[in-house]
Amino acid sequence: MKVMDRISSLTGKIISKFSLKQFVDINEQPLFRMPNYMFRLRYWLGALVAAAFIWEVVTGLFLLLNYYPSDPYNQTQTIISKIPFGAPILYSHLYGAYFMIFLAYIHLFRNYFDGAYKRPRQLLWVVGLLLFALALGTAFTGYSLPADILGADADGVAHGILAGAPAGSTLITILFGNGTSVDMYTKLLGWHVIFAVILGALVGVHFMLFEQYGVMPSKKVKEKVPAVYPKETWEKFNPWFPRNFVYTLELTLFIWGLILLIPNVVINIPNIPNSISPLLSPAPLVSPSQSLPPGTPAFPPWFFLFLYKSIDFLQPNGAPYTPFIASLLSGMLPALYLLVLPWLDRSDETAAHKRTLFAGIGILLVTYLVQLSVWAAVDPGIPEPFSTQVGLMLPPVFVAFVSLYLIPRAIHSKKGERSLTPKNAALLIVVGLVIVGTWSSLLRHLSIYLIGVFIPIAMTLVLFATRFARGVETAPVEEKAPRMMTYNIAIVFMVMLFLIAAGILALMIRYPDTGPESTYWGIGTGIILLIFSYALSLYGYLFYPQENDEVKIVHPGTKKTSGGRGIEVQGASGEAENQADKA
Amino acid sequence: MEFGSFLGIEDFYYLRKISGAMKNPRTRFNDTMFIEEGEDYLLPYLADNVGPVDETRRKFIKGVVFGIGAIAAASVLDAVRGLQVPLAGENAYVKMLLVDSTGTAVKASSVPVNNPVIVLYEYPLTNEINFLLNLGDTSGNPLALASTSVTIPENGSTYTFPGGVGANKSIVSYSAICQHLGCKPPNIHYYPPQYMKTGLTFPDFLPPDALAAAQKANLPGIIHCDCHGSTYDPYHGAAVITGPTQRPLPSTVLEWDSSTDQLYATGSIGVPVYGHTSTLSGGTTVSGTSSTVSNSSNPFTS
Repeated sequence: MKVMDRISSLTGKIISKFSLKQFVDINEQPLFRMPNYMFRLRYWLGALVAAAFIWEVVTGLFLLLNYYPSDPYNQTQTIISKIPFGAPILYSHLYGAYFMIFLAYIHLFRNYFDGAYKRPRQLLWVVGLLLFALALGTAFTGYSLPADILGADADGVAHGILAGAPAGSTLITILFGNGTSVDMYTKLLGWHVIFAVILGALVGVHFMLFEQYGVMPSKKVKEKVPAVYPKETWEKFNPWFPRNFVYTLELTLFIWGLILLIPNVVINIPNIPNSISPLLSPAPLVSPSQSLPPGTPAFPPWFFLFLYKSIDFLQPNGAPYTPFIASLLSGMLPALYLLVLPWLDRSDETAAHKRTLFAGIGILLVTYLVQLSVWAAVDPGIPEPFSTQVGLMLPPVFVAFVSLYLIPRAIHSKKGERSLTPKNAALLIVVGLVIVGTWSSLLRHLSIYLIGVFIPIAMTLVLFATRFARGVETAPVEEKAPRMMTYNIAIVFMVMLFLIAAGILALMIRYPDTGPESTYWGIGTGIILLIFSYALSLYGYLFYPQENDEVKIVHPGTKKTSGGRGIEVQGASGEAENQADKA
Repeated sequence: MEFGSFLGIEDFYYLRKISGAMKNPRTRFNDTMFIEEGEDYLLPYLADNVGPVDETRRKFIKGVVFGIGAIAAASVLDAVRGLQVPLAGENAYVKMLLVDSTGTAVKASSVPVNNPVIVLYEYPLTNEINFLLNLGDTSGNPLALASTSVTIPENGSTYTFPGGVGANKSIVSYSAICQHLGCKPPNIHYYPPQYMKTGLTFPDFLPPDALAAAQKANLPGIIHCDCHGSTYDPYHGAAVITGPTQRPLPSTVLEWDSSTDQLYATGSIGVPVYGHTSTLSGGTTVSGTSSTVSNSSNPFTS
């Protein structure tokens, strides 16, 4: 132990001698400091998107060095089969984009239902929407680059949509070039990189705006607009280094681990049915000159499925929409709504239950997104008459607003005192049964209709569940359960994690770095990153204060919040050990 | 301000500034001080909080700077037109002999009637593929296809389809790229009479409405796109039978040399090939004076 102490003091001296801290101290930067309760996933959804974006940039640069626009399909196959680690990197680049878009949806809708777009964050919201549009543009151009049959089909559809747009033929030459294959893939690669660079620059703006307003406090802390911590309050919270840094690293590694692990596992699953392989396959499909295996439908990537279905819609008179008009209706209309939302919803309330209309529209947006996407996956390219559209898309409107009306009323009674009367309990049971009933038949039939019923009810319940829980709690909140993890257990755990990670590394390096077996590198490294992420999570749990500092801001500027940076690591650990001893 | 001149717009502007400064809590005008000190208070107050009286010149120069900036921006932004590249392609149709993969000319008499196999060739550009079809009746005898007028539902205009070529006037050729969203073979292909039925294996099913429309028009076969269900009438210039397409398939004009039984592609009639502003532009030209006809695949598994 003495040796260890000496070594650590020596390394400490060396580090402080060469430390950059004397020039730049990150904690002196105007970065938002977070209270303890915010080190939870729901406050970090944007960081998850950013982590996926960084992965895309790094792997994208590797692919950029190895891509030939003159022979895109064959060169992609070369990357997969001949270039070291080409396969796992290419696959994870695709799935990284999938993750980024999926997480961006989650981030978007969380901010939607929490009212985070309201004053003073309107610009933050608008920049976020621009980022989402850019992400879709980057994803589309990237999706075409392998020049497989899916990419070629997607370009064909884009030509059709743009041809109907004003100045469409000009747009087509700008995006796709002069019509020759070389020009087209050079242009697509160029736009892919240009969009990504603009995206990165706007992420910087998004981040600076975020740092200016800070994370939105929980509803318990401040429910009304402007939902911000006063500067003198947040300055007392945890400094950026080390806690924020460690948590950021933990989340980043978690996302990277998943991005690397999942596609490389999927590619090793044998016999994925043709009917879903275009949606799942991490690898490019056959070249456009070959025909797809029988039973493979022509799909766009999953995040464009909703648009693809709307192209199948027929007008009330039975005539089809032009593809441009259909995409305008299903893509631009919701986008415009979201863009002007901060100026439509001008109330002071951020809680979803006090914004019934906008919560309802939000629920419908999510419902239609899922409904149309599943619909396109189940019935790709089948024209849908107007009556079918109404039959499937009108019920969610009723279900959403009826459940928005009923569920909160079932949860709390009139006079503001929230209690569970027999009538309310019965109502809740009925709602619960409806959910269970639709869920089970949803599993059996995967019916698009039932999706339209299930999602609105479930989302309303989720939106009001916390409120319900808060409403019925009458007893004082009990103290959090004592920490069960003692240092000794943690040491054993950490050593085990280290050994597992080392074992995986040792196993992995036995496989070749090219060809199909190089995907094992992706699987192994994905798991190691997840282990690293978990180790950091454990570290944070052991050494950083966990006290609940989710305290209502009463008089901004005067109220002192408890917890935060004042708590010493030693104190916390001693407490943990005491409690563990008692247990 | 010279004596005798009227109040100008800048004077009103200045007065507004004064009243704004007087109301502003940070620079509030102190009435008591004014009463006590008069001009000695007012003039320093104005100098400190409102600035000199005449801002006209400064504003004018500022305006001119903005103007020059706008012109500079417009002049730079004009270069955005450089993003538009001229389309690749050719100026006129080249007459091309249809040959097989060995380079020998395709004989019109050897093109199979009602062939379920997809037969394709590129013309006039490499990204413009065409069907080569020899159409027959339900019993497999070649049908003579007459010249007919084809309507474009999108805009209601019409053009003349020249009819079939060959000894039996039964050979035709159409663009093999669906006019709806650009699906290519094997998604779009010819359904010969023997496959005009329901219950085929996915994805080569004929939706009941396409089949009913074909039977109503008394057609032995159709060209149908499995992507989104567009149906074309190959016997009458690939006119639209069912949507969602709003445009017929362009006809590739064939010429038959009766002395040698050889086939030539000489041009295209109708709307531009899908994804092109004109059939002659937006791709690499097929080189030489012949185009290779190849059997792509048989879409029918049963």
